[in-house]
Amino acid sequence: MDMLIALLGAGSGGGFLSVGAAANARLRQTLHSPIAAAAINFMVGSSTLTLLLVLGVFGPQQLDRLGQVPWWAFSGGGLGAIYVTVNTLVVSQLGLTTTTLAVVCSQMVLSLVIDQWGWFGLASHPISAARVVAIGLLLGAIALTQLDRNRPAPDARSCSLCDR
Amino acid sequence: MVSLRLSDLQKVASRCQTCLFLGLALGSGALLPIQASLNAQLARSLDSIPLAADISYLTGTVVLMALLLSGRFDPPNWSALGQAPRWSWIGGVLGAWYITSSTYFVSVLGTTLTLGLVVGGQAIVGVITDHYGWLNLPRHRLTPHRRFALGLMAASLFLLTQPR
Repeated sequence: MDMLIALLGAGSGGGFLSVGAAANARLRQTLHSPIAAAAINFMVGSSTLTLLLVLGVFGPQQLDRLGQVPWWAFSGGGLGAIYVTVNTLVVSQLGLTTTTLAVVCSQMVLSLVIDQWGWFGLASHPISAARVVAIGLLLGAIALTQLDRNRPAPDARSCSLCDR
Repeated sequence: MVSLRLSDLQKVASRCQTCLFLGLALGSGALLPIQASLNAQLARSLDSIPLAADISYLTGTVVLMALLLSGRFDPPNWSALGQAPRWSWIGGVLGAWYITSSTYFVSVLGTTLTLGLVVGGQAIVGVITDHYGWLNLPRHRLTPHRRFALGLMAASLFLLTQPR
């Protein structure tokens, strides 16, 4: 696949998350509840997608295929909700820097493992030295930016790199 | 003597608690590649990426609403919702793009490259918005540390996107 498309497609997903994290932080502040802010966030996101699907922007959908989906494939959204909830608990205890590093670290290590053995029906992408070095550099870069940051006001506390 | 022992006990207890939360942070980070892989399987079964992203987001919304209604968390200040600036609602729309693009790219590029690009995009956009103080966030200028971190991220993304 063209790496430029990958950079723009997946990279922009991350960039938008970073902008969305600021919006979520503002909602959290207003509602005094991280879970409620996340619920609004998820609701707006799913309504947007539902609207686009109903309008037929993505063409006709085969809803009859729902019966063929393995049950575990439906749990991705629930995991996302659990992730958001656990994350709000952890950030208040460990602080931003530690939480960010722990989340990014375990996320990337498990990614390597899933790729290596092609779990969950994915194609296998074996671990290479270049990838391990790349993830090390990424973690180093994030540690540098996080440690460089002044302590934010408690109200603005959010793990911008973890926000999903 | 007794007070000394007690304080020792407290130290051990607080250390245990930190370890517990660190474990939770690591565990929650691990949920992210699993979530993306499950969504990719959902998309394969349904033969539609946007429909899979929508279903994933909808189930996430239901789980978050159930958590809110369980009453285990502080009740949100729903009456303040009207005071939230309009732009703070946009997080969900941006999140919808992340869910859709990660669902697609994970099945093509694997979890490591996809989530590496996502984290890279988050970190780079984060450093830029910090620098200009955009999005109502406290301003953090580009320091030499952060410039070096950006260089490390660029090197990491370069290594990640190398064809094998």
